[in-house]
Amino acid sequence: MSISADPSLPLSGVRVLDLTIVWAGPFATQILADMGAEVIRIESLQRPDVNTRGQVRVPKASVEQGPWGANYPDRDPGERPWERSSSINLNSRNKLSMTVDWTRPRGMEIFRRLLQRSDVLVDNNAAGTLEKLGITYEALSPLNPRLIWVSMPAYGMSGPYKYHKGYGANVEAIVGHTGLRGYTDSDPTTTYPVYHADAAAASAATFATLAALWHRRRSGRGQHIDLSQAETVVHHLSQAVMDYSLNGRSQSTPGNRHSWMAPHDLLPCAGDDRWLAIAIDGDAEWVRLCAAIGRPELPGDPRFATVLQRRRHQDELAGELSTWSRQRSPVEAMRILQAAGVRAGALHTTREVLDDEHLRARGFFETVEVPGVGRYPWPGPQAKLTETPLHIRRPAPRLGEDNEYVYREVLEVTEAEYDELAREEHIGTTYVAVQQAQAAAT
Amino acid sequence: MSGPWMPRDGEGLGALSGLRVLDLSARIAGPWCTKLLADYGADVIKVERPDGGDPARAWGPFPADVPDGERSGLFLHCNTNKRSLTLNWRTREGQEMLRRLAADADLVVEASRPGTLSRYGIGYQQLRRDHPELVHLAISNFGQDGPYRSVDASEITLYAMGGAMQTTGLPDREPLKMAHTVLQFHAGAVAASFAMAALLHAATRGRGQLVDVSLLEVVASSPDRAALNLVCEAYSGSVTFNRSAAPGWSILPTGVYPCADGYVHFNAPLATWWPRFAAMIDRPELASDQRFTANLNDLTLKPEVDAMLLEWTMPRTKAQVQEQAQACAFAGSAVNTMEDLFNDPHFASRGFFVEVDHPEAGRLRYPGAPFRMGDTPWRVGRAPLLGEHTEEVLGALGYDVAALGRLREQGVV
Repeated sequence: MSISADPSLPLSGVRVLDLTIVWAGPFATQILADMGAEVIRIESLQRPDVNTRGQVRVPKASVEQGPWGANYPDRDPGERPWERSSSINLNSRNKLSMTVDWTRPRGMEIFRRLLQRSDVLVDNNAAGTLEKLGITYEALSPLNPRLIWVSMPAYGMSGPYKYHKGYGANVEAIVGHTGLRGYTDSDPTTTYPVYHADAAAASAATFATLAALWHRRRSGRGQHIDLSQAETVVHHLSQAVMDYSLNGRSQSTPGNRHSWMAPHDLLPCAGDDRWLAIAIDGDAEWVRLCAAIGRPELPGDPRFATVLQRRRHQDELAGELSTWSRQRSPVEAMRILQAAGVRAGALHTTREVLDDEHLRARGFFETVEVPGVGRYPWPGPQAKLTETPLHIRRPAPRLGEDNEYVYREVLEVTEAEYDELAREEHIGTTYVAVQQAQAAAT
Repeated sequence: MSGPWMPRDGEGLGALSGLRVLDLSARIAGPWCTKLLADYGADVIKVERPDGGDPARAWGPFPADVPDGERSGLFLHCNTNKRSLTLNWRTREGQEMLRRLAADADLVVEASRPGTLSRYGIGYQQLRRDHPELVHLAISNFGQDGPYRSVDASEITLYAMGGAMQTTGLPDREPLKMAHTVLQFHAGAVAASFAMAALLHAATRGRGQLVDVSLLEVVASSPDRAALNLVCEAYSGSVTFNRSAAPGWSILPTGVYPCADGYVHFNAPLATWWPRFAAMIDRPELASDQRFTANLNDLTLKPEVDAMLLEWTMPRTKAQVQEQAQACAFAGSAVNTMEDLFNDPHFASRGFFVEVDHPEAGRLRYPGAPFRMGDTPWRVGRAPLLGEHTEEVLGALGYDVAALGRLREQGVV
């Protein structure tokens, strides 16, 4: 039994091999790990995974001032930055780490043996990365017919873009999200990247894995899942996609406004860069809003009497409401409006989310000591389950931390074989390049 | 038919065939969750209120912008492969019907304000008494407990409260939301995953449970930016993603740039990509130019690099830019409109968009399978008309024509 396993959890007994990188894949396997699966990150001493663990050597200048430096505790990357970065510690809690160089025949053999003893393989490398190494579903399925393999590259396992390079923000551009979110009075060059595609692909991949596990209970067979990150985001843009389908219309960005709610906006509040979001659905809520801000006459103004009129005069409307909101903090404004039955939400800074009384009361953050990193509050699992509560059971693994368990207990290698694999630099806990640099320095 | 539900044996059908889902949810996140279940084979009975049904039926887009409860593009997309039963659960008889349907269901999905169903005697605690294996998925804005439990919310207010909105937009302007209701869709898929985990647990251990999904928590733990920023804030008192920092990681292009017929997007996160950039803009001699290679984080060089890039993009179409970028293994992509997307050769080649016929809305193109399962099919189907399956479902519960007529008069169905 693995050290991370809790036999009472929904996915206990399910072993997941994790070949994922960046965000979409690691987030999908994080959810599986939170649910109790034994997720083994397969890493390599030869090829540091900079997209997931961060850079091996972090430039001093970028840590001291740049936004990227915030990824390290006290802006200090330490001796082993790849074990201190935010992304690895956030996305790999509850997972194990083993090292093997599968580009060499012996490493490939280890990988194959591991696959025979696993239930799920998740991979979001660029399509073709594993193919080149001879790792295909067709080749692996006979070794383990119960294996579920989730391939989740940017654009799927077929088609002209199969081999295209892309991060979440590229996918956003291709599927049209980039053009649907921006300022109404600026061109798209001012539209900053978001990575919703990572979230979309991750949640779809998790569901796909569970659906395949459900089916396997009955059929005894695993299967291959071809998940295009791009296709999962298209679904999330339903209103724009179906508008094109129904009306042949390509929508442009509405900014913070809405196709039928008005006002629907972000209002400036007292203080620097403080804001309040409101979404008013219908005349009754509009009347309540006006009463709550001491402007009961506004609904009588012909410019604001109906939703159609309000939509036509949104800038004037925002001006009227801002006069009120500018005199209040976002939280105060939210409290007044919510008490009147008006949908309002304070725009919280990250610090305010960390300190949020509601999230604290729900136990959303879990404070866990991570060796070599420190004791911090981490965002917890995405759902609360009453019978099988989910928690951060152990922190993210250090590189190769679980080699002993994986090689000796899962693969049952002999003592001699273990030593040989360590000598050949399959098994280890420090990147080869770092070992060499250290050796050169002494 | 074995009573109101489809038979359990579904060999050769979708991965989830035989799974029975009583769907009391409405609007977007809940219906998206149950659409995923239905499209992959589950039998989903959608319970709608008799007066107009799911409020999303009244939400656009509509053909020619004319509202019609059977022709909402959003509703049609989010409710494929479900059966629709109208039922007023504020009535005693409606509650009794729901209890009988739940008795043979595996999963109940709801997205009501916390506490609402219990008030009508159909909450999780009440339904589980005779059915300990039942899984109950409750999707809500802020979760089933905590101080914000009864707070009203919408996509924009959740994005703001979850900490993500602060980081999207220009530094000297107001923060910006993402398009439409992408968070609701993400939350629906997250909820479907946790419901499946609980169903697997119930199937092996015989114990159901309540799965409590809070949209605020889904936003705050999104890998897009909010969750990473939370860790950074705890680490160092500052964040990685903020409105002034977005393009500030490297002199390599990140973000949207103009070209001959529109815009392109680049995302170059790694210093090792500089030679690919040089190759892309047809300046191979720059690949080893120390002035750039040694100073990739020196943002004072960015205007110069951007100028070289623009000189190259401006005479080219977005398709040409994308092709050349990808030929150089550089992450450059066209910024597409919906029209571009529907005509994109890649999506066409994969047969992504599917045609679905609907008696009221006609034949339309819908986004197809969210993912393809090698051995089990994804179903192409349509959304139900309001109450389309009321007679079928209640008939199977034993209500005859006369009883249904009476229930209709009393406003129960």
